[in-house]
Amino acid sequence: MILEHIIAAVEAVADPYTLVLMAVGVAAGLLAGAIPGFTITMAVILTLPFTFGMDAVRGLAVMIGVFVGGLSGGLMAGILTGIPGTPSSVATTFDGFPMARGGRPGLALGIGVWSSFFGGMISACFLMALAPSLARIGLEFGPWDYFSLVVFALTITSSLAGKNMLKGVIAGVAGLLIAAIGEDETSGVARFTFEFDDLRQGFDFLPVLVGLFAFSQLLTDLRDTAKAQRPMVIGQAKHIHIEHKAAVKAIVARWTTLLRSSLIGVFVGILPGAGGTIANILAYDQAKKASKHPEQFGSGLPEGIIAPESSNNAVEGGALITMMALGIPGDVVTAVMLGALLIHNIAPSPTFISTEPVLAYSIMVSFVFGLCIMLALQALCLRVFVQVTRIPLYRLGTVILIYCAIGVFALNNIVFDLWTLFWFGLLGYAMRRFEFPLAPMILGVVLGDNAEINLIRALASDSDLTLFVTRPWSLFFLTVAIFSIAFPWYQHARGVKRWAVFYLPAVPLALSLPLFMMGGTVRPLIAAGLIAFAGWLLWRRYRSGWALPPKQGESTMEIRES
Amino acid sequence: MRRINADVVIALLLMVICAVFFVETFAYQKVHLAIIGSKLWPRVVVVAMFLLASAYLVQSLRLPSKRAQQPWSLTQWLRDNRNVIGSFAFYGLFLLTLPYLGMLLGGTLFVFGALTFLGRRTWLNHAIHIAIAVVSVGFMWWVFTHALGVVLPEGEILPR
Repeated sequence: MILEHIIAAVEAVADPYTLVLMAVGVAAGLLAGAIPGFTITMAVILTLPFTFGMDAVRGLAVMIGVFVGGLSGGLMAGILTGIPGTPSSVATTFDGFPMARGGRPGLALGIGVWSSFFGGMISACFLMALAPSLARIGLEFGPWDYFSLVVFALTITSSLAGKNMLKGVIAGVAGLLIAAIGEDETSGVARFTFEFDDLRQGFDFLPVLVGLFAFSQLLTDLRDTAKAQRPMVIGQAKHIHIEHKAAVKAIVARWTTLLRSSLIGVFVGILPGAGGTIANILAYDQAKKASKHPEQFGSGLPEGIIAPESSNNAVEGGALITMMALGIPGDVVTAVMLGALLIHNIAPSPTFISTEPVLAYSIMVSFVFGLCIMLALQALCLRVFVQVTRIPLYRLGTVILIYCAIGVFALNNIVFDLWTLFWFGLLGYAMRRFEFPLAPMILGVVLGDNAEINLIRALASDSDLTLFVTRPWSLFFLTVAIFSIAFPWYQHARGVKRWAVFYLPAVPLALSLPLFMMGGTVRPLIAAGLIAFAGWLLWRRYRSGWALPPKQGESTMEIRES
Repeated sequence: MRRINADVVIALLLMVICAVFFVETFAYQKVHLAIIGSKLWPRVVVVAMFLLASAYLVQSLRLPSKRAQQPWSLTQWLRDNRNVIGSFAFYGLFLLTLPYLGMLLGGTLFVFGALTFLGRRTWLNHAIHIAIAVVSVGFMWWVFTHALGVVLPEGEILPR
């Protein structure tokens, strides 16, 4: 059955026209990812208007192509110039740039490209294996559980804002508020319209997204006149021959680093709100800790390129798992894809894979195809990258600004959307200036309707509020949400306050309760394992005299913010 | 007395917005058949937002931000944000004139205006900016109008 769906999906994606469009998308993604200042998210958002006229399979295939290309494109700038093209390739520069400066730019690029490919492939395997199983679990969810899942998604995204967690939560709730503007879907009552007729239809997702992310990012980049007038990358990037054979050999010899980093990427991708930015630093950090020569990291070690590049590509497989199985976007890019599906009147939910199997498997197949196309196009794009980065930023930025306007207009053919873009561009710029994270707001806008519908369904079927804590899955998500809110405090308190010693053991201990409540055989066994793990953590703390050293060096969150 | 910093102002602004939005929920039309009214969710969100804004206010008062230590000057702020204000102004102007100029003409003028404002003012640059504006907007207009079948605003100046 699954094989039939996969074959049907391959047939749908392998259409020559789709493949050509995907290749264009991958090339565009590679370039967008390579240009510092232009994010992958922006590239995927800007692709969306082009996909309106396409069917869902083709449209999503193109967007996935852009995304796969973008993830891999970041490494070109990082390795050749030392400036990461995207935040998800920050750690790649740590060893990639020294290796390139040391006379092996072709090998550094080769390791980066092939690590991206292998990391992506490993996560694609996880995507195909895990998404249907997770979707089956999702079928157990009632409206209480779904509401708690949305709460969890918003809190974990906000907690990833590090020291700005409160601002992150405010941004998330503001997103919910924005989603509530317009006519109520069930009763048709106009809400928060302040008697403006245009507001009755609410804000469309795309203008809000483009305004908040792309528009504000461009204006932030253009703020500094001198920087805006300079070519985007000043470096000696020349025509370089990528050393494919040597790169594959180097990666195969370090397969444990590849596997570990890819697993980190998949796990981070599954968490709502977390993305390649966190995964690449985390994987680099773990590779360094696992190495016999950690002191050599930063001098051009292959492991230092394999770890970040495989993990940031593996993230997307993980993010797609949550989106396809539960309808919860794992990151902003999957939130855009969710928006694209909604434009085609398809709403991902636990039944998505069973009701739309060809489309669901097409997403997975497109991911694999995108990786292969990326591999083929990398060398070509490297040459174009050298030319594109000679253009001053203000010229490219201004052209993209007008493109944003045309693309947004194309969605509904109404000028109101252009004004939405303008106001949300202003809001996004102000939020960036005052250090409010944008990702929670995007998630709030995307999940607002979902949260409301499930809350109303839950209360309409039973007014008993205790069901939110007595239903196992709901309790599970709320427990994780509480711990994710407390996480930034834990980071500050670590090594300073006594309670921080008990934070980590408390997590598995608390999570074991809902797992026990779920019944069956496997889940209580997992719960017992979690209790044992908590006991082991406590024992270790007891052995060290109930002390926990403060976190050393730069934390993941701090790097992410910078 | 502590100096009022930007965070305090934002927190107060958020609280005012919440109050305005909360009052607005009383103006909702009543739907008698609904089991749960349309007001519930907006009120839940607004109240949550108000509580968070209050916590933000308290936090901002307790931990004065770095910005508070630097004297704020309007001239400096305008100078720092010149490009952003200019770009927004050009974009706003583009939107206001869109019904008259249309996407093709308005877009070209916007790109040329913004490029000239942001770039160095030399004759060569002006020529490059005109070329970029005409080619980029013309190309995108052609792609959306002819390839994707999107009817872009035509305006009143250019003949149909």
